[in-house]
Amino acid sequence: MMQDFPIRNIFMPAVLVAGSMFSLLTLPALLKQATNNTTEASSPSQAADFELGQSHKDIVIPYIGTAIILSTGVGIGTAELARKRCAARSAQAVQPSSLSKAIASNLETAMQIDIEPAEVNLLSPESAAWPEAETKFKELRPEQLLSKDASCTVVVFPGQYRRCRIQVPPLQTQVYAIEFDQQLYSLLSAGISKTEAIGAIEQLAKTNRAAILTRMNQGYAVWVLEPQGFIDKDSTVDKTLD
Amino acid sequence: MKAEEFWLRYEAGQRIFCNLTFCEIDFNRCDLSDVDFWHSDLTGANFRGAILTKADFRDSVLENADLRQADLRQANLRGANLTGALLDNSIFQSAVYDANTQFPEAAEPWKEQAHYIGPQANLASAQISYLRLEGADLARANLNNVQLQAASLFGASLRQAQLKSANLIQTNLSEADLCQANLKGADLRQADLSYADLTQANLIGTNLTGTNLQSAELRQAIYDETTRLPDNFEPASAGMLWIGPGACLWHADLSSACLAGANLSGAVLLGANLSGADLWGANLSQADLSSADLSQANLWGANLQGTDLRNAILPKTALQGVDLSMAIVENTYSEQSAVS
Repeated sequence: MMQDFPIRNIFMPAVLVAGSMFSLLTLPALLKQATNNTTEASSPSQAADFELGQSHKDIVIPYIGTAIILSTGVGIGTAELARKRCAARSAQAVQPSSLSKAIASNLETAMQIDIEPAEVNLLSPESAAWPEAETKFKELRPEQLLSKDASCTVVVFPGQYRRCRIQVPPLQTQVYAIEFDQQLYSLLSAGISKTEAIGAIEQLAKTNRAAILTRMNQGYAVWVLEPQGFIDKDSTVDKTLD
Repeated sequence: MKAEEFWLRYEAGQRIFCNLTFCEIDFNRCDLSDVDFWHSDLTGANFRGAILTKADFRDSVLENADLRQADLRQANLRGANLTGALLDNSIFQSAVYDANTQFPEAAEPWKEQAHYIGPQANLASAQISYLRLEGADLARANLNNVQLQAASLFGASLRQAQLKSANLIQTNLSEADLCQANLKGADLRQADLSYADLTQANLIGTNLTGTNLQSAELRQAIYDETTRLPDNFEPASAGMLWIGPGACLWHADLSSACLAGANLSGAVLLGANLSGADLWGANLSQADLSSADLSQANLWGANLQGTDLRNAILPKTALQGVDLSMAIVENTYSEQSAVS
């Protein structure tokens, strides 16, 4: 973490600001007192020593204490602001290498399903800084989902789809669905194993029904493309999971 | 799909047979429990005497199928077409159907204890544990005292549903819409509420021990000292509202909240939205309700001794039996209030 937030960018500005604040609060008062009492003090510290020895001791000590607390507070505030600025910068600048690592991590550990990385970018739920502009979901059309093998099984994660309730003619009731890549998918099954999910998608592909998977806490959910579906105006669910 | 292929796959462990055609296939007295036939064509299939417990027939076609003496307990018949099917002596106990389910003429599944699933459905005290109701629309449904242990309600709409004292132990409520749901006294131990929407839900007396609340929306959900929360969970940071004596609820949105019998003595409810709230028998003595919106709220039998009601909005508020002694009611807008 220290590498991410170096001393130069955080602590130096904090020390400088705190020092300046302390000087601003103490120097004018001390100089004024020194002038008024026509002392021979040559520095602010000597002026302070002089003042402490006088009857003003009861006022000066609390004043300096307050100045120290205020200066420290401002310093801590500066450090926090600088840290947040650094964090925001690093979040914005996601390196291509880390993106590849996220994809590779999903491919190897999260899913263990054959997915073509060239066509589908995956994001782990933990990754907060997904560069949406770099996704290539739009290159993957529904007809591409109809392959009879699992090589192009699409798995989407929270943050990449939007929950909704849709109408699918001729059904009278609303159906729980997700909107992904401008297509609507109704829920087929949830909480099933990876093998069951892939098997279901293969079966659907044989009958020209495209489907995608989402990963759940326990197992997977299968969603079927609904070309005739539309979002109900009274739909109560309208959220992007993130 | 032919019977041979089906049994080969079944023996291999496959249980999902969705979107397939099984016309006139013979499943006479077969055990097909837990099999998923979603969107399949089972026209004329023979299921006579078959065990179909927890089988999923959603959106499937069972026209003219023989289901006589079949055991359909906890089967999912939502959207299924059973037109012309033979249902003599078949068991429908705890099976579920919806508005899209088509039964043969004169069939009355409710008499066989099948449950209707849909908005405003009445499932009070129903024994439907382990049932799969993923994505079901149960908005405003009555599920008080329901047994739904380990059931799957993934993505279900339970908006404004009544779930008082419901058994929801280990139930999957991930992505469910529980906005304004009444979960008073419900048991949600080890339930999965990840990504669920519990905005303005009533969690008074709810047991949430071991519950997964990852990314759950809990803004303005109410709780009190009897609510049992998961370890290391901070309700205030989740935007939850504590209900109790001296509670700070100024400008809180408690519209339509069920606060019957709640002890809010000395609470600060300045400017709070309590429109349509149920405050039946609540103790609001010495509470600050100035500028609060109490329109259409139920204040029957509430204790308003010494309550500050200055500038409160009270049109159409039920005030029968309310003890208003010492209450401060200056500038209160109470046109049409039912005061006895």
